[in-house]
Amino acid sequence: MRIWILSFESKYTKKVGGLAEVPPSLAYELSKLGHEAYVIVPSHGFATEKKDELRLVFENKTVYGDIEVYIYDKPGIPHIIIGGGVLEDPEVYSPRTMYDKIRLFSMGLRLYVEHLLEKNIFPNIVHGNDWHSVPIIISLKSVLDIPLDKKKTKYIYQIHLLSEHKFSLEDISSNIGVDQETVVTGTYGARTIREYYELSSGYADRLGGLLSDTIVTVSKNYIREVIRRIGLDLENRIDYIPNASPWKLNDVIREVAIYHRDNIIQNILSNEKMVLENKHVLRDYLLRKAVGNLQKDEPIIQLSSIREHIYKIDIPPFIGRGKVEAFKDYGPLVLMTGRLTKQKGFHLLYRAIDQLVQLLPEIKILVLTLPVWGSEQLINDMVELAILYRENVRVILGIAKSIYKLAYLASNALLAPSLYEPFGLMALEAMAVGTPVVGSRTGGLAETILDILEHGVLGTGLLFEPGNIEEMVNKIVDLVLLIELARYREWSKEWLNILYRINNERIIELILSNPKAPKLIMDSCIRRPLDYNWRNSALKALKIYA
Amino acid sequence: MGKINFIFAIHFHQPVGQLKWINDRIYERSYKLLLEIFEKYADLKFTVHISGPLLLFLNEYYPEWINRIAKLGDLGTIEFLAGSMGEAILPILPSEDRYYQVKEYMRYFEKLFGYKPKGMWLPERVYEPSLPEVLSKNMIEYVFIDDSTLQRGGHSSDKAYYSWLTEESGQTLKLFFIDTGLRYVLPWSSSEEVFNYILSKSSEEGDRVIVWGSDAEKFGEWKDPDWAWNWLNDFLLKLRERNDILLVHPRDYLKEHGVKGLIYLPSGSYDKMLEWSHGFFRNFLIKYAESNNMHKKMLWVRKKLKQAPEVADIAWREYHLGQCNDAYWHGLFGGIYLIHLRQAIYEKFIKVEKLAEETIDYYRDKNLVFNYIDFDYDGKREVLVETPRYNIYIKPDDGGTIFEYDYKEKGKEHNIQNTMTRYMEPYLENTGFIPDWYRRVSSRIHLWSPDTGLNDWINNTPFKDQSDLALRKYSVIITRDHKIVLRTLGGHYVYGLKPAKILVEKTIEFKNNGIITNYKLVNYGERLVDTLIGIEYHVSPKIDLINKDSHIIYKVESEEKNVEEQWKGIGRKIIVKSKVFPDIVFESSDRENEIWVSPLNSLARTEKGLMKVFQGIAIMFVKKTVLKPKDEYSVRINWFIGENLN
Repeated sequence: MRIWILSFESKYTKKVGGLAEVPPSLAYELSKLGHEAYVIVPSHGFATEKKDELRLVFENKTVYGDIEVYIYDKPGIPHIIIGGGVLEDPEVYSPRTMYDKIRLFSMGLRLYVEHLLEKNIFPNIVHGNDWHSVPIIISLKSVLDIPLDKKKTKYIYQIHLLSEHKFSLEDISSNIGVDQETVVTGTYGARTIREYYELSSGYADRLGGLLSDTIVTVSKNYIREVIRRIGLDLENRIDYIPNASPWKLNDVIREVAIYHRDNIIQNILSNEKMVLENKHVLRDYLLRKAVGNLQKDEPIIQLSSIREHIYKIDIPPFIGRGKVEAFKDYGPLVLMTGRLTKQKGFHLLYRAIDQLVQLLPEIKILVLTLPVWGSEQLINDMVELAILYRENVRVILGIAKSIYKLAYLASNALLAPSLYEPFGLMALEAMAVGTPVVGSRTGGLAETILDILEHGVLGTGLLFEPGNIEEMVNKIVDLVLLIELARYREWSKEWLNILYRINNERIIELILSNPKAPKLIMDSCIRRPLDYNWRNSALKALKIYA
Repeated sequence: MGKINFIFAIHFHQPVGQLKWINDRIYERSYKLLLEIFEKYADLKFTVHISGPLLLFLNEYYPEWINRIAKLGDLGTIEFLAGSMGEAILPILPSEDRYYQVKEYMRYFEKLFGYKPKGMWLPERVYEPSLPEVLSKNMIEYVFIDDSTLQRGGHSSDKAYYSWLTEESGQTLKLFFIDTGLRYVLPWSSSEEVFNYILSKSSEEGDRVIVWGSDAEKFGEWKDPDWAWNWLNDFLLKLRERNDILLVHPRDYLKEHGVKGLIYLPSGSYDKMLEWSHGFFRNFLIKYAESNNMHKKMLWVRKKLKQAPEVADIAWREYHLGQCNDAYWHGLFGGIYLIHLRQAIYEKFIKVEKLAEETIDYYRDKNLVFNYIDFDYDGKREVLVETPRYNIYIKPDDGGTIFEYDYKEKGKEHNIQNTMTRYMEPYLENTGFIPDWYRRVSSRIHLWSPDTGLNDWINNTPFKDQSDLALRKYSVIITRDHKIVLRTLGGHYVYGLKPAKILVEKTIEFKNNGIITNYKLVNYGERLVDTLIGIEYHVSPKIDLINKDSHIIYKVESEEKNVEEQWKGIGRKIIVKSKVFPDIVFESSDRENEIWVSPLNSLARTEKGLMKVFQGIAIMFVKKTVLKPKDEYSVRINWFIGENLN
């Protein structure tokens, strides 16, 4: 089967969010299963940067600019990269160029398909990801679904994150060079693009759904949200392909060891057991040293307008250029990562900080976040948070690879307070390295995180009602303290002191009845992502493709 | 010509915290006079209520007056009404307290008079539909409320001339209605005009009743005592002769005529109170942060008291006296604008708090207790730092200020932060008065424009503060060595220039007798900040409630000043001195800063017209400075009570 996976980003070309992980990982497993899988992405400047590593396979000129189509084989999974013109703008989701990119991407890929069709080459499966792919699906349908009764290609539309995005009729027709009266097939049979547009009222996700054979999302829980938003008439066409974590404890340890050459740290990083027994030493190193010692070019901030603003901040603990001072002392650590959006719940951390610090004055919070378009207010809030709570908080805005995985490894807990979360890969990544998660009971988080209050030592974190700050604070404190116990000898004075600062009686009981609970919970975490692997996801995808 | 029953109900009250010499004066001018009138007209029927706080005062200082008036009760001249022990607005209290307030009054009244009254005077006639239950459980049969409450309930005004029955949870209460029109003529018009008014409400059946219910002080204190004496004699002599207006006791009326029927009423009070409170008494707690502060202090102290079941009854008595209504609102009299009334409320609560803390061993092996709670019920948390010797309450979201500073030493209990903000009042409109734009408490930071003067600060000249630091929300960190660090990132704004970011840090350290606050301001802007840094405090010296001649002074740079005087100059230390309280000392570490001192006076309407009312002393440590980018200004200010900090 020839499978084309459309995405707006890939970790092998340009990565901004979690979406960049999924298409290449899925494609890799599909190809291992004997299929011809491609990831198709816009260049976002990648073609300009890495011209030497790419193979130009097609060129054309359009009214919106030149099109260049490349094949990129290097990552082991072939990418078709659509470049040229505005597609070379390096800012992935810049609202300035987004539409132009979608437009050129749609036209370019269609022209390339027309070129392939001459050789009778076409995809059996087109698997679009998120709302950006909708015009591209329409553009492809306009050439692939001819004649209508001999449809060659099956279309899958996958929603990783529901969007409120609305297209105009022009966005999906004249602007991408397709006549709105073109007849295509979809949920309601053969109708014109205009008719399908009207059925969707322009909502991208519904339109994508109407025009696909199957709509897919990323977790069972999230299906409910998807139905509610894309329409109950599409209910029977929805399924899910879970994401998976590519992280393995050993790989992560190896990667961390490359960046951190300190002798003691190297010694700890020599094997898994040492790491799990000495997380607090890694923590201490991260907090008091590594955080203040990023690589020269870190943090990398892709958005130039935001970069300038962040680089200027020099109020302690910021020291300019996005860098921060290390912490002065050790403390139990909570990590928060992800795109800097309200959806991820960063504003909840901002609102919870005062209570958190009152309950656990020694707590440290490390925020490693990617600023995105429209996140200016959240950037200011996060900066203020770090300035006002400099004893407790560090915020790094941008990519800081040198400490990213170390932070996962060294934290007492990952905080995932998303208001909604289709899958929440970060939770699985944390678990993969033995770090439990405090997450909101929503979407994929509610599936991947096994609540300790329900599952005991088989649990992998604590869940709270989305947006409930009081509950979130209490759960953070409890989980952080629970993991902190692992530092001390059971029943020692320090151990007991920490134990009795835990709020939740059931957690205290759990530990009293099984003092090894912290260690067992870390082990449960490491086991949990094994249920979510890309092989299983690829098999599920193949079932849907069939 | 019709007939009508007439209830003449006279309400005697002086608040908790009233200055003794004022009580003495009112006694001489009014209460003595009224007693003589009652005795002279012993054949008539008067209805009398004496509030709990006044009963305590009279029993202590004028027991003979109590004996004489009690005798008139025995003779059948006076029907006494019960009340609430602290003359508290019952609906704003926790329900247990509502019950206790009445029960305690009955107990105390019975101790003095030998029996329990059947009727009750509702403090400020603030009625809410939940009251029948609690009053009925206290065996109260009837109360007096205002006829305006009838109208608010959609009833015709004619219903006011009968008694009605109401019910809550199956518990009943009878209601009499005080006639607003009658209050406006008696005693301000001639006897004949009053009679005419009363008779205008009469009926052929003679089953109607009209009620006058108001303050005793209208006779002798509000106006000249001779006038009152003459007016009352004229009125009562003529009334005695009439057979169309029958002066009755409420219990007699009910025996004779009973109630007219069932009625349900909304919340209410008298017309003026409804106007001042915008229709609902609890609105005062919203309008005046200081009122809410006392009310929530009450709730906080109550929690501690409840944990101490073995605490002496006297603690509960003091606690309930702290609920006395006058200091919680403002109407015709000074009310909340009277510093000594607020002082007395805090004194009671602090005393009780200390007793409760000792009983429950609140501190155990600690010196300090930190509470991070929503003390004032505004949805945001405050920091309450408590030690056996003092409390400091901090409001992070109001400029990181200190809004309560309780000294807990036995016999000296006092909130030195009992200062009052000047609010806009209807009678101050168009007088040139500019209300305070922030709560007049302590540890507030301003960046004044360089031309700002002392009176700009005191009188609120607009646009002089060029920063938002005064009102910003501060973050709170409690350090491992038990200090509190408050931080905010604000701005300095000058028209035409780019805003400059200013980081402020206040670190508060808690010593034996007070606090050290280290202030640090850093200019993180890209330009010079030319400013007067003002670190503002307000302090409430303890007023001597007994001795009129006990003056308060302050000493600054070896000069002694009366509190009514201003002072401005280079200085490091200022001491506020009161004969009834240890010295309150402020010390700055900056030898070159100025100190600005001024009395903080409000303009309050009193029965004697607009008057300046002392609310405390305003003190500001002022540093004239030009901060370059990254420049910092630091200063340490000690604020303690007694001879030294430790």
